[in-house]
Amino acid sequence: MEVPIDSLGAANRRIYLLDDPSRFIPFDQAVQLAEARHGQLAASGSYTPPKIYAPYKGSTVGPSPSYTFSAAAVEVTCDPETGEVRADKVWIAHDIGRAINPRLVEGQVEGGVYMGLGEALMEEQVFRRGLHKLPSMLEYKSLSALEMPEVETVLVESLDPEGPFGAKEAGQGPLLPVPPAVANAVHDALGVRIDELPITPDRVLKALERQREGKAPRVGPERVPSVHFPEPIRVEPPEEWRAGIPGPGDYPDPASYTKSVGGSGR
Amino acid sequence: MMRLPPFRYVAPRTLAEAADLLAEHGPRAALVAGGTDLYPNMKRRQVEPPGVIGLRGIQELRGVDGDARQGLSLRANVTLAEVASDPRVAGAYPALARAAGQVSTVHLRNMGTLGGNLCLDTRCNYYNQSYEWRAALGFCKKRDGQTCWVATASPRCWAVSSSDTAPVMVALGARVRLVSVRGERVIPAEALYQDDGIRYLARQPDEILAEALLPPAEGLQCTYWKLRRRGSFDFPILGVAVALERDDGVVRAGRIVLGAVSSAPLLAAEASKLLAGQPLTAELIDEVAEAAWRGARPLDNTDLNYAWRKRMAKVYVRRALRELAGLPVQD
Repeated sequence: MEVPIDSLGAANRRIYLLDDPSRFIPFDQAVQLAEARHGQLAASGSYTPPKIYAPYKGSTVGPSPSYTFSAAAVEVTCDPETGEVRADKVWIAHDIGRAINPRLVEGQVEGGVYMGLGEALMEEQVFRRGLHKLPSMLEYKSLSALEMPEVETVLVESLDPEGPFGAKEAGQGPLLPVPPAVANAVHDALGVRIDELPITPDRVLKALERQREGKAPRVGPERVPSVHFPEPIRVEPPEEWRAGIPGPGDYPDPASYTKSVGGSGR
Repeated sequence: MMRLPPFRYVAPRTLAEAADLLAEHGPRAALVAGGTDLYPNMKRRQVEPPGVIGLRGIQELRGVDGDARQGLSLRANVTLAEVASDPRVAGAYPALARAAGQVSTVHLRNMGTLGGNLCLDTRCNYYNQSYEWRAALGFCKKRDGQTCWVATASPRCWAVSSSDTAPVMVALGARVRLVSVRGERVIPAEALYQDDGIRYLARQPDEILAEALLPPAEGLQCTYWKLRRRGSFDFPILGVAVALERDDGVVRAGRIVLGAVSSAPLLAAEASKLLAGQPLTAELIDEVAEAAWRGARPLDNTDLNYAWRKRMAKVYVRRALRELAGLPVQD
């Protein structure tokens, strides 16, 4: 294009002149030209979170410079005769901070949904005589393509002040709202609470039976196991942190968050 | 990664040659066609046959003959994919097409054969595991050990009949032809199975299952319902095969056979008798389903809860019969 580099912009699969967007070169063509001259184009980068440990127990794990948030809605169909639960559709919104590669993030979020559904509906650790009873991929069940529902993903970009380019995680965060959403959906459908995972058909039927008998329509642990919990160690934030604790006015206004719709996918 | 143990493989070209080889190799030899059951079990050292006789090259074991009017002959090497898609099977004996079409996955149905599925090894959570896992447990009655881990006080093995086609064959009143150097015999499919997790086939060690013979389909209505956790991969944890001979609305005779609730396909005799000479009404169906589930005694050696599987026998028999009666399967 024979123009200075800083007069160019890149968007919508084009490299274009900022002052006159009608002058452009398609992105894939630009890549081919560049690679023909320079060989493979590659870049790498890394981000290390700031060291935030302080002299108290547990400080090296747990605290994070920022946290993600996810919300999910799940639509299920339940069979009251067999107790079987099928997930028909999942809508999930994940606060990613900034989606550097939206398609990849969407894939990660869908993967998290898959993991959450597996936990909610099928995966179970059963032991007998010290041996895992379900030690292979045939016995330890996770969803096949036939059980995986359609997923609509919404990526919320809150532009985190700490993360690289404002990004946060999309690893296992998206899985977290899914099992409770499934349990809530089962309650909405049948009026029973399954308070333990996986939500298997026999547990659903047991809860329905309790419902018919006029008992609390719930299946799950009856009580917290009687464990002696020691007194918690209360630790004040270190002096050097107190000045830095943000007040309500220090965070970006939620109204300024941008939202990119990741689209639906399976 | 699990590997096969060393073994000798022979590939006869004719059924007679195969029968000779089998007699020569003795009772420890194994027959293999698609290999989808034998080889995984060999990799886990559940069986270690020194000699394996491959049947895939035998032309006489291929093909489907006949039609709905005279009955159908399916040779043992017909793949499950072929059984599921053959229009003669899907048209006149849909239960068999459905059963074959729901076995495992597409790839395995392309390799697995009807003969192999009919002779499928019985399965159990404590048996179908790697060598190391079984060794840690102390092995089991079916292989290398003394105890049945699902019923520790029991003198017998309770491994589960896990074939989808077997209960259908029994329900249809099919017959099977067994060939050996001593000659051949044709027996009812029901007589092929024995209620024992170890000696689960009446097939003698020197016999080869060559052919399945389906009776004429006039007046026949049949269906197969498979219960499993997922829509693919999984073995049945309950199978319901129903075959009815109907004259207008009236059932002349019916057979209900339950799979995966014992070591052999289980004919629900009481329930089946209730159908004879009756019109197939919703009330009769409820009565029959109530009778059918009582005979089922699944144990805790498959996926999911065994008490639940037993309850599902009633639900599935009812739904299968309602399907054949043209009623909505769920209220």
